Amino acid sequence: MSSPLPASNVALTVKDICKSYGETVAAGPLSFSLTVDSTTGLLGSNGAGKTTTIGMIMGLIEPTSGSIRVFGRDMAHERHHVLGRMNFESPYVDMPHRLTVRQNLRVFARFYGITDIEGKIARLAEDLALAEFLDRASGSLSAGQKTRVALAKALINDPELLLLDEPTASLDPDTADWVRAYLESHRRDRNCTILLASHNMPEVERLCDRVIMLKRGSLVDDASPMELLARYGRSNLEDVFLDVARGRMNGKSRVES
Amino acid sequence: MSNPAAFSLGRVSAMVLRYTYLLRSSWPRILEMIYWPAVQMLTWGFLQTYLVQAQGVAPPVNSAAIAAGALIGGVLLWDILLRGQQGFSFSFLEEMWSRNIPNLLMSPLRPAEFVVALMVMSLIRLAVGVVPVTLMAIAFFGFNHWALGIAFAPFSSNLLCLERRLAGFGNPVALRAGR
Repeated sequence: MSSPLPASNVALTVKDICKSYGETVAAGPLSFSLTVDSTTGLLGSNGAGKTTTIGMIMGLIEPTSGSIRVFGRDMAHERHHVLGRMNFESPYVDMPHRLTVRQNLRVFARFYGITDIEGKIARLAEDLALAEFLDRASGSLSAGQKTRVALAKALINDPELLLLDEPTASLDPDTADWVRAYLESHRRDRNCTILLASHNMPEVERLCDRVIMLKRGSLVDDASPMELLARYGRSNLEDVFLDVARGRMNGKSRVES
Repeated sequence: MSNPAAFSLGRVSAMVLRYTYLLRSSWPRILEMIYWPAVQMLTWGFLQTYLVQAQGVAPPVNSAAIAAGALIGGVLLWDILLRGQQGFSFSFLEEMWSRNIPNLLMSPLRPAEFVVALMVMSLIRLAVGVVPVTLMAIAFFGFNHWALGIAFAPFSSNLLCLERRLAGFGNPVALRAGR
């Protein structure tokens, strides 16, 4: 069991959270903390509780029990004190279709009290190659373009905590690689803390310095990618994922949290 | 340093801007807001004219004229109620249809700011839909709704409260039970 982290170095603390729907436990009990300036992968099979966990962290889903603190603030009662310091991106949440990309970004920039809105949009458009479709309706964009727009929305307030739910789902390899490279450079430049739910193991190996593995809503492993490879005796995270999903341990011990 | 959790007019204006962009992006929506109140006013207005002419008695003892005037006034008030409630509800449902609710809930937008923005949009939609019709009632049927003066203010305020209560009841039901 690791020793508690100093509060100033902790972006997110999840303590004993659990989400149940009647008799069905969707996620939990889960406990973990994210240090500032880290990228953590949240892995698990479909239905393992990744999206539910992210939903609880964002405050969209109320945990049945447990507590979540972001930058020291309790998300159940003080979320509006920290929502301006965080953001999220998911391919499953759309931007309003009829508004143009520029109009959508203007609206979200106002939510976060950005002062130089047009300058900020211009910088994001340059960084994320949005310029050619800034004035097109968001609903008319391709999947790759929508992902870049959603990423621009997620970065519009320079969040200190960024939650990403399968950010490269349904993207072609070229666009997905481009998004990963951008996330790497963004974290390097802004000291941002990232929690990434993904099914793409090479992506997790590339971006994450820590991996939390979920199975049927519970945390079954928590280590760096290199430690997981060594622990499971595997050469890639995909095989580690399969070992966890199928209950194979190759004779190695597993850390239960 | 400002309190990030405090009520922000900037975020209210962001939501109003979002709905204004939406309205501007679709001329059929604007037309629809004016068209139906106008059709309703013309239909009942012509009925009033017919009733007055059919009775053939000059004012001020023309009971049909009085009844028809009340009818036109009722139609106007009904439109204020209906359009105001629709302005509130449609703006909210728009967020559900466009699957934008998580984006809003995850932003610093507070529920009170969201509700105020919906109220402002309800008034804007009401103005777009009903003001031209009140002018039409004056021009075509001689019914001046504005002549009621200051006495009309508390009445219309009650009407606006009722429409928001209706929308405040209907929206959560749609959110909870809608598919």
